Amino acid sequence: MDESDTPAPSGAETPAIRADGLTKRFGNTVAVKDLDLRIPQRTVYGFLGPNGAGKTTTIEMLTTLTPPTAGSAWILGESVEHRDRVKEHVGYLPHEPPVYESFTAREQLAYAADIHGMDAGRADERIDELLARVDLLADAGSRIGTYSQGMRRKVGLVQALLHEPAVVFLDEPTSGLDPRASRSVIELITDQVDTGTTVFLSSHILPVVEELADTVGVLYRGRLVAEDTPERLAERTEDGSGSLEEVFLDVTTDRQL
Amino acid sequence: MGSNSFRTDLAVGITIARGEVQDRFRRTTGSRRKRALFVFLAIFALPGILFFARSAYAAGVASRNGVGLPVVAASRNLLVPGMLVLTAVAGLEAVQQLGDDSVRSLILTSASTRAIVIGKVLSLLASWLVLVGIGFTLVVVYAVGARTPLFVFAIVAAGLPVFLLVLLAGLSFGYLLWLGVDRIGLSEGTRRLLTASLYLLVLGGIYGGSSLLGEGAASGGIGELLPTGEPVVPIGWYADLFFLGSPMEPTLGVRTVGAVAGIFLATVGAFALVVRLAPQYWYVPRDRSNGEETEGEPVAGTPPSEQIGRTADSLVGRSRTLRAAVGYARSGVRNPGQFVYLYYYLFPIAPILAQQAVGNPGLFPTALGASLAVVGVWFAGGVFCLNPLGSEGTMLSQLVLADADAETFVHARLLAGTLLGLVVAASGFGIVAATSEFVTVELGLVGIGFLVPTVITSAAVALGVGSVLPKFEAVEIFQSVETLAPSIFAAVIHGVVATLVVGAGVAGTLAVGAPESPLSLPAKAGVVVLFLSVAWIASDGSRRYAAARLREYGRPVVGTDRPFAIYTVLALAFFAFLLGQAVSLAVIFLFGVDLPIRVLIPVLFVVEYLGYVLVAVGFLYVTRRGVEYLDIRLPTGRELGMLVGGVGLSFGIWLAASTAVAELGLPAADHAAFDVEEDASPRLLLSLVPLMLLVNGPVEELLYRNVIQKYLAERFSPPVAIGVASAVFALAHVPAYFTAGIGPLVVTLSLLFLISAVWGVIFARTGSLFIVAGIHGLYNAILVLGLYLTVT
Repeated sequence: MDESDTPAPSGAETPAIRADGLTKRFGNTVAVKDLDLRIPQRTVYGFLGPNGAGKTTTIEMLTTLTPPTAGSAWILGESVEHRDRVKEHVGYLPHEPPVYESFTAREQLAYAADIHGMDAGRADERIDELLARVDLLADAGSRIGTYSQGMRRKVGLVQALLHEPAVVFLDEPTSGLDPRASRSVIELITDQVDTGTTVFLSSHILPVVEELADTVGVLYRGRLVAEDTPERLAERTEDGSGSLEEVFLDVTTDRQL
Repeated sequence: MGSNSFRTDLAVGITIARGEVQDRFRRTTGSRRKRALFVFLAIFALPGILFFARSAYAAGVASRNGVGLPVVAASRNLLVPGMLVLTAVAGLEAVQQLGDDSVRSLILTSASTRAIVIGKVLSLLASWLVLVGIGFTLVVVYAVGARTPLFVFAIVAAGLPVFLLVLLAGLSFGYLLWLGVDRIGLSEGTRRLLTASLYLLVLGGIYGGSSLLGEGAASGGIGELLPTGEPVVPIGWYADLFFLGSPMEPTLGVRTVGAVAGIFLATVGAFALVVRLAPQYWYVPRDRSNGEETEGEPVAGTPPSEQIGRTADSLVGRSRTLRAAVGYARSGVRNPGQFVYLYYYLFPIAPILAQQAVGNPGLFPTALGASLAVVGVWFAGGVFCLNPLGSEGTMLSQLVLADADAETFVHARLLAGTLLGLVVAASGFGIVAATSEFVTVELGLVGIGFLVPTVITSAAVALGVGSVLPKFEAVEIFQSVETLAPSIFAAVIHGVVATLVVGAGVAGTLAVGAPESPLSLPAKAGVVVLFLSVAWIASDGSRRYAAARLREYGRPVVGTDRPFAIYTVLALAFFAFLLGQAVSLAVIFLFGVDLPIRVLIPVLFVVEYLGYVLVAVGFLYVTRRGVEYLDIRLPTGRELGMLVGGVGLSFGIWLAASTAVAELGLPAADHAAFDVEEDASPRLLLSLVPLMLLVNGPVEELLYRNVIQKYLAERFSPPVAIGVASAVFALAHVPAYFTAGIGPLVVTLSLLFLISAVWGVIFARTGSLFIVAGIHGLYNAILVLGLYLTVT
């Protein structure tokens, strides 16, 4: 079913990310079940869930890296079945930063810019700009193999944003970062959204999600069990204590909320 | 470490071993492709295994009649050198496996060092026993022939302790070597390369030493000891135990008991040594940064390196493929340790070179040059191309989502590999040319002409093989940091194919360039065309497949392009032929030529077509098309009518063609098999009639129509699919009609093509295998029947 030429309901913009009944089965295990998503452009969607909930699998389906077993998904109106049409809109930071250890950060990013078809001059500007934003400019000439986890993740983040994709998928962008580094990453993400990027981020770090996300979705055992703004979600705790953490814990057990 | 009793440690060790073996088994048989590969390889190995089995059985029977072989005496002297060689090899393999991450996680459990060592050693032993299993089967067959079952038990009982000793000694040797190198305090990369080189030297040294020993024996020096059977080292008396219960007469006595005690003590000592050394190896800190912000050393000369390819007017600047190739080369140069697995390629060569150095010093430089040339061809594929998806590591997702298409990266690897291979291989070939008077200028030039496509083919085939059997998990080799080395299967298959291509290249060079070559100029041109065509098909097909795998990453079925579909069907026909021959050979080795011709020929006939069926079904299995792809169903009445009509039509064409041939005076070929059979006996022809109907027709239609034509029809229009399938059908009959010469061959093949196309149309229209199988079978059967009637 190709809905790329089906117009969105009148007055509404094409959602950045849309999923209908997205399902992924590995043998007898169902990793993601009947996931429905409608994520508007220029927003941040925070994807929460315990380990093994299916967050990474969902991201892999939305980035076309894994085909869904059932259901469909569209990025800016393009079906994920058409990888070559989707990939120009997409940037992806997997959980393990995708970098060559023997390259310096600058070489890695120059390479990434090249394979994304960026013009060399523009690429250099953007690389410098982004590296400065994440405080990595000074170490940009050292090999990534010598970097710490946090520094690697920063390179991965810059790489994901380098070619100015319309939709960016970030798997744990602030994992391993100290508070200062975390702050600069959060600011970078917010700036990208201001310039028109849609951010889909998956994280365990609730304060970061709380601060960044316009909408939060909680995935548990492959199903979306809660979806709302962080504030409204927090109101749903039984004692009204208003903490996202409470909600997360409530929702990710087998009790109904 | 705790003071657990040996029994506890043994129990824990067995648990560890069981878990490892189970895991390894599941991983090895995990995918369809691997399972299909096992079956395929097993069938190919079958003739060889059966051949050796027959010989073993015959030797067993002969020994019953008292054929005296000085096996026992020789074994006493070969035991120790054999153990030494195995120790060196064991050391490599075992240290590598014992050093991996799974050990580090075991260290944090309550299992003692001794238990972990026991577990890992047992698990290694299990793997080795599987490998040795084939040889052991031959021993059993021999024992059956010699009617001495006790012999089998003797081999096991005597062999296991030796195996265990070799493994433990190898581990000790490996650890000692590594720890010794560690004391010198080199950088990790240099340490890895040095350790690997030392292994190589030791292996070469042992081989060279044995060669010297052999020389000494021949000239009567050390050899004076050999005829009496006295072992050079007392432990050699242990070898007698292998022959207990066999027809050969071992002498058991005090010296044997002494040897057993020696082996036992050595084993215990080696075990203690390993338990002592292992923790030092396991607990040595690695060179990794531990999570803190560290100041990395800026790379010297970074600015030029960053600028490579960024300037639009440079050659590299204009081509993204070249830039990607530079990227791969840069990564390789900066981290040469990742290619440490290449030492495996050197292991077959080192002993041969060592032997040459000792035995034929004059020839050594040429041997070295030739080895370098072969190594160059191997490296062309083995360095950058053998694990194209796996060696991207985590970067793979970015490549899949990149704007650059998959071909960019595949071609970049091809380029890098080819250049590297050319440099090394050409150097080697240059040395050969310089040191050998045999190589004239003309031969040298022809050689280079064959060398270049050989190198390219090696690189491309590595890409293909590495994409079929990708390996994504990191492995520690020679104590290196995790490298995404290719799978052993892929490396071995590539090595074999590359060697065959080298052989073909050498043969081609000699056929075309050697002054004594008996070939005429057209024949030489034919050789060149054949070589280049096969090289092209293999290379282009591999290249396309590798690109498709990258482009379609994550999809269960890889969408390859149309030219690749044609290569696939050519490969299917080729492998069907090969497998058919392999199975036939297996049968011949199994039953020997004792069977009368009139039984053997039909049996071979059926068995050969079994190979065809296996390839067809195997293809459907691996590509997940399933057996449902086959259009086997009983025919309707109308379809039976079409069958009869089809037979009529086929004979009509045959008649028309025969008449035309006779009128025009064109030559026609006879089927090679029929020549043989005509001489043998007319009754043989009669026995072939039902076989034509029930075997030949159905099986050929299964492969050429139901699989090949239908597969092509998924990509191409029906006329093209029918045409290509018919062309393949005709080409596949070249071996059968080759005897008559080029002219008759062409005429006959054209006729075959025509008839095949008719059958193809019928299949496309009816979608029923039964109909075309029936037509083909009846057509052939009636032809053979006609031949029988004319002969009698």
